[in-house]
Amino acid sequence: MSGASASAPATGRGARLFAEFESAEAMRAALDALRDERYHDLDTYAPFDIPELDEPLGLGRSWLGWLVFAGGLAGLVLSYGIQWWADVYSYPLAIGGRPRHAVPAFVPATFEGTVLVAALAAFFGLLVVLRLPRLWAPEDEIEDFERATIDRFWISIGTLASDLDRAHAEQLLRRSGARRVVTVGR
Amino acid sequence: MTPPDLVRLTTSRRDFVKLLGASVALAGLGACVREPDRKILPYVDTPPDVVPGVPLHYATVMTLDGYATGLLVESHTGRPTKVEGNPDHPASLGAAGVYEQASVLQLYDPHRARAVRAGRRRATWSAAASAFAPAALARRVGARGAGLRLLLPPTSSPLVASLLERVLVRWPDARVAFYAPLASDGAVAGTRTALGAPLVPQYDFRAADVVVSLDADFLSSGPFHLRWASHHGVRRRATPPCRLYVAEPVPTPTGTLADHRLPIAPAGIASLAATLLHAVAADPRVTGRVGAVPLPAPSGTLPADARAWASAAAADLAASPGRSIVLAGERQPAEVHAVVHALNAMLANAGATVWYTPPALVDAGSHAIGLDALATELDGRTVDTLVVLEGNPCYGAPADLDLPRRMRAVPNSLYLGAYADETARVTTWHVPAAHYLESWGDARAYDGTTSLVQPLIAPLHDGRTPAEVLAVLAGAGERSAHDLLFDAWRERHGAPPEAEAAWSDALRRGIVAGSALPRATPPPRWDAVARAQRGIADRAGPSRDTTEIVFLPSRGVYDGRFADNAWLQELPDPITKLTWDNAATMAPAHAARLGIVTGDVVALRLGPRTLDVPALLVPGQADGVVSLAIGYGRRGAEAVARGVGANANLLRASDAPHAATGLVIARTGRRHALALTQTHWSIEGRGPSVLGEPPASRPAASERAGAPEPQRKRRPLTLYEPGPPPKDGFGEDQWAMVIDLDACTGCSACVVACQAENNVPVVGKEGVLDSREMHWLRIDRYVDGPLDAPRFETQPMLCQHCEKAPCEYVCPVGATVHSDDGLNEMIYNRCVGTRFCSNNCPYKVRRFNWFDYNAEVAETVRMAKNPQVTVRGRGVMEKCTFCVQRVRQAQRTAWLAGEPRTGPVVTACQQTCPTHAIVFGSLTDPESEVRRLFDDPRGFSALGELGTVPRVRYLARARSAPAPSADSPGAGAAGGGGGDDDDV
Amino acid sequence: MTTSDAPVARLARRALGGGERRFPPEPASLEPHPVMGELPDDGALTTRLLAPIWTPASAWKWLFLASGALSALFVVAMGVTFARGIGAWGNNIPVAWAYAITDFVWWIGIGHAGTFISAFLLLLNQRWRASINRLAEAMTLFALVNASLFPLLHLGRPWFFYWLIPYPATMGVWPNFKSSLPWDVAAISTYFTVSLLFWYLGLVPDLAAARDRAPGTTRRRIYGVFALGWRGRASEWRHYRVAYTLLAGLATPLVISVHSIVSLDFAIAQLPGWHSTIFPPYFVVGAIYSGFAMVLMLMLPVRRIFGLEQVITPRHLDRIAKLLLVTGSMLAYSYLCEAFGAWYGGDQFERYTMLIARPLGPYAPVFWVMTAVNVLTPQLFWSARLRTNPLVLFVAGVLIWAAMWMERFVIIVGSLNRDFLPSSWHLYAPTWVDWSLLAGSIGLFCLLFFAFLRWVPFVPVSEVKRLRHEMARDALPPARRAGDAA
Repeated sequence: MSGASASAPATGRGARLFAEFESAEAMRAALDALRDERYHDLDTYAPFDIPELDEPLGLGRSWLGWLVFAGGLAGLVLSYGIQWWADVYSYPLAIGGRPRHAVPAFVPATFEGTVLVAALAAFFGLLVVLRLPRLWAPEDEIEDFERATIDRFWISIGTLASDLDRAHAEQLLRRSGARRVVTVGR
Repeated sequence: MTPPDLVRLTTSRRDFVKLLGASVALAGLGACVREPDRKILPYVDTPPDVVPGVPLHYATVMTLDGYATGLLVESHTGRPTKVEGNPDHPASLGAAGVYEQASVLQLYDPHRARAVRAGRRRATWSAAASAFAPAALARRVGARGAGLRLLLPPTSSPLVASLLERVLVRWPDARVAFYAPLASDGAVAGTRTALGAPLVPQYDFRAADVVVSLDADFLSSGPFHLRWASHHGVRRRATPPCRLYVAEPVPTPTGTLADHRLPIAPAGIASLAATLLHAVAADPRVTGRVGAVPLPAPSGTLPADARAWASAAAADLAASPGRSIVLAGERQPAEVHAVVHALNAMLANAGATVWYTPPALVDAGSHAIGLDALATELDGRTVDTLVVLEGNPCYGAPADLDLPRRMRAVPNSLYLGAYADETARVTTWHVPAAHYLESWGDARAYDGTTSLVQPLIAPLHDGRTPAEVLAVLAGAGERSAHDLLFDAWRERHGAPPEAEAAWSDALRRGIVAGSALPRATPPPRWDAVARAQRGIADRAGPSRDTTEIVFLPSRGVYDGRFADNAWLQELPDPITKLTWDNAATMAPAHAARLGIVTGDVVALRLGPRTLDVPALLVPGQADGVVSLAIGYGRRGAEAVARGVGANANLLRASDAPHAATGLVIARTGRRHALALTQTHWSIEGRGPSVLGEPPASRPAASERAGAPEPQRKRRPLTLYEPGPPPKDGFGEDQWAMVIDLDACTGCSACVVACQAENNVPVVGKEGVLDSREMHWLRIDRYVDGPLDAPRFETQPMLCQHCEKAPCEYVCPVGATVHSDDGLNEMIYNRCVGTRFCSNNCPYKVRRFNWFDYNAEVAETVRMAKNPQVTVRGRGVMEKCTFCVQRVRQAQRTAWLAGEPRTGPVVTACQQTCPTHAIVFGSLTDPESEVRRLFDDPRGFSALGELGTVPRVRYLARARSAPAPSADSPGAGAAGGGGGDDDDV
Repeated sequence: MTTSDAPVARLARRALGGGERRFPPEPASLEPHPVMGELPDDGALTTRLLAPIWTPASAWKWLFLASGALSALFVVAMGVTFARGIGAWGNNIPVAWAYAITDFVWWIGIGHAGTFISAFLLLLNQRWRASINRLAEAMTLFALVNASLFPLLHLGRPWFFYWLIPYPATMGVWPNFKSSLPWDVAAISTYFTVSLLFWYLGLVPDLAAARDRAPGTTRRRIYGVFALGWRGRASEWRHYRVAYTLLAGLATPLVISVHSIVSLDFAIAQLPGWHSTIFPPYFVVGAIYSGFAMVLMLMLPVRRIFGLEQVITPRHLDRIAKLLLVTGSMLAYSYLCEAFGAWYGGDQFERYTMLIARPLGPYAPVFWVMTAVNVLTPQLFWSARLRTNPLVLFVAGVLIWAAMWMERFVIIVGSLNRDFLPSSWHLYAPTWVDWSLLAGSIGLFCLLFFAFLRWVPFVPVSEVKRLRHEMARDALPPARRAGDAA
């Protein structure tokens, strides 16, 4: 879909407003302004991580850690379980006069298994949470939006009640230094 | 099949595996497993519940230089696979030597001659038979056979004797020469001198408190060495401890066991004997008994240590009349033997520990000529037809006889030989000889006991026996050896029924009852002895300025007849651990003076003849003496042997074939890689830990009885938590082995026995150089103390079957685990070959299949494999299994018979050990010998402090038993310091 | 970054005394060298850092050719080994392990520096890590590729390598987990996986940048696919940040564990020279030491050739030099402990191995070169001038890199060739196959590393940009910092 232009026709609830800024500081200022006006459903695009934005955007803690923790536990149980099953229960052998259930000998592989599953949980958990890979998104259609990963900073606002809201927001953004304001979707 | 082998055989011998691979062209022979068509009878002691698939044992004998050793040969579906000693045979007593053990491989040798050859053409046996039948021969050699000569190695076969007699009756003017490179008539000549009759000495070492050996390696070579080693072993364990004095130029297994060993040049032996005789004769205890004997004083050229040794030995001998033995080496001159016989008579040993029998070897009487005489005759064009029956004289004869050229000049000659060897190349006819396992025949042991040779397999290559050839010459025509033998048997044993019965009995037991030769102990003729003594005094004693050389049999290939036997080529020499080569061994001090180190190629010059040989330094060898093993440098068709070592016969002269003086050693500047399985000789002060704490003397049996074993309390018998009893019942036995280092001569028969029993592959010289030899059982050799007169330590090393095995817990796939009955098991098809187990084995007894050693082995050689043992593939570990196949067999047998406990299990190494140094059995059997010896105070675990709890225990070798007289050389310090090696 | 509530991250934060994990502004007076030189604006910086990917240079052809040839030799040597058997090597009994295992331990040791730099230093909040961590991580990965090849190669029957992995086999048999080799399998596979994920996750924003700077649709598509559609939303950064920190937190103990386990391949044996309790720390230190040496070998040429003096500043050189000094000294201490332990323990076999065989035995020259280089070289870096001298650092790196290989050779062959029974002592001599495997593995490493330099953003662009952004902000008076504007 196209229609990425300032003079777009009336937009529906699916539409989002995108504003481009020169610097992180400018974007941050605009963000604060929007917050004062009680705009919600905000998001930003930046070429690098700016942790300070979480609070104004109202983003809470990431719960990914718990997923990883669970993964770690699973890995621990699984890897120790396999070793116990194999050497103690399923096919016990008389080896070097050692006890069949040799706990110290099972520790290293258990640790590795724990870390492995935890790491897999962290990576694939992230992909799931972020719904990646997603090779196309509407905003890609905005001209020069690529620079969002290079040296430009964008704010997007969603679910604008009416064209009036949109006009107001657009005005607000321009006032706080947006180079361009674009509407995507309808 | 296609002859790729002919192409491949031109490649060098360097990789033995390749060479055998070349012979795969013999695949067709794989089908040649034919039961002999004559009826042969199984050994009487085979298990009663014999079933197809269970191997049978047949009694037969193998001869070496004429003398027979009785064997029981294991046969799997018509394939002889394993040779063991025949307990009923006097020369074996159940043991077998390296040559007997390895002979089975030679039977299947792909390089054996396969067809009769006439000139350059392939011919048939019938053609040869008709060509040498009297009718045809008469035209050539004259009516009385003036132009006919026979040359054969010494033989004791009554059949051959009778046939030879018939030949000489038919051809009265024919002449016969007996020759073997290592044979010597010194002993017989000695008796002729000293006792006035041609006799050979017999000994009973069980009754000897003192044994004095003058260059006699009676424990590991000679026709009766198995018997003597067994008896000496028995005596070593008895009380009071016996004392062994050995004077020898080159270290031998006998010398390594000596309590008092004297390294002395060969020329010194004679004067040493004279000195000994003189000293004994002068001893009041002797003169008191036999009165004063007029003997000339010996020449005073003996070095001080030798005189001290002689006086000590003399005193010891004089102190034990009738309970001592003095013996001289086979290849010593007649005078020495005469002196020795006199000594035994003087010491009242004759009749007690020593007696005499007529020689068992065939003597052609007035028709006999020597090899040198024959050689000159060959030049004289008087000889038209020469018949050579085995022995390969063109290789083995001294170089100065120039036999190859002379024999080539003979217009009509026939050679009966197993290989197209040096001799076959110069004769007009070549008839393949049958291997003894393919032959019918008979032979006598050293004491005359007669045995029948019965085949276990039909001749693979249509080989013939000397008897068959002689029958042709005698005009008996093409008669099979069996018929000839049976006819001769009938003549001797009368009418059919008794004859048949005696025949069956002889075949079953492997001996002809009561065939031993009569004993005799004629009184010595002192005047003759005095003459011999004088002769010795006249002869030059040992001198510093001349270098002597001794020619010895190779421990592997003997006189070259076993050169194509890869097992023997790769068998480490008991002393030097040299394989795939011969070398000029010399004393370190001697070599240092000449600036020679091991591996330097030196040019040996003896008179007009020279030979380039690599040098090898041997501690304990007499200074100024070089020894060189014969049997190498072969040029025949034996592909395995080609290019291995140098031919010592090129140095030998017919007048001094066994030892010579005036050797000149020159460095060539070249180097040669010697394949030694052990390159480090010092024990590095680890003696107590590796070889145990030597007791002051061999403890009496009484001391041994039930001595408390401290370890037993500290160490559990098994390593298992008390759990449910093993279901398969294997756990009722707990297998263990005890090895008596005081009895082990290091003869290495066990090494070959293990190789034959367990299908152990051969890796070739390169493999040995890379330290990749595969022997499951090796014999470690350590040298302690001064290099000129060291103490030799011998230690058979095999898998110790540790209860807490370090190899097991490092294996990632559980390919080596412990069985319920205490075996350290190796699961080949689970092994992935990480080799971690070998790294963690303190004994380094694990072997790795670096290549696929078995894939390229010739079909015929595969026939030698033991079907009860897995043949290992590439990339897996292997090691001693305690002959698990024998253990399981015994357990199955016991289980089937419903017996409460497993019967005795005998491992291959234990079975063949002549001194019974190896004992195997179950620790849970309170009656078992292994149980008793496990608690022996001399017992220790090698590297016991590592806590591996080995199931192999060694009995420490005793310190030298001190002579009653004052300090004597050789009574050196025992290896290592203090410390209980079993403390963990 | 603000911290997430992930347990690991929380632990890390507690370790750091809590508080905001924002880089603390540092008083310039104490630091002679800035962590970053004068950088252009984000756009230009990105262009500059991504430039090597787009600009073709004929030099690449030759580099790939050379490294490719060596890799081919690697393949040939492997082929010979598989076809003929381990006999193609110089190994024997007693020296059943030799070059292959030496190479394995060497490569896996090198592999430790990458994770150390990126994970450790990330948790420890070292901002200087930013510009070199990807280089180091790539090195880790490629070293691990080699390291994981050698254990397979050296099996007698490599086609059964999977028997070391627990899987329900028809025979019902399992690996023996009492052996350290299955531990190895677990450690190496885990380490490789985690390093790969960590590396790739860090790469995603830069791949996105590459996608958005790519000339032409093909490359745009390719990088687009690998970028997974990353757009740099704050909502994405928020989770990304946590996942990345967690992977770092997981990788950190992994660094310690992996080489500890590798060291157990030797320490659980009772062979004198292996049977030692100090092996795990000893090996870990040595690993990081050798890793940093190789980081220098790779980083300095890259810095020079691609003109990254402003990104990889003297500060980085100084830091790595200091780390070499520390780890090198720890290693020297380990050498000392090893010898002392053998003497103090009083075991005759260990005494012989450590105090006689190694310093005086057949491999003494290797031992002494190894000791001299590893102990003395790092001591140069007490001097601040030498710490920032690229040439000195490069030479030191090469020396240590090689000497650490010798260390493993001394430990493995030097211990095996003379063990308990003198009768079985035997020397080891490598064959051409052994040498080819060693050279070939270096070739394969170079091939992979060149490919990485050629097609992957080897400096973490987004991290550099962020670092620059925060430093710029730190430079401002507090009142005007964007972060505190509200």
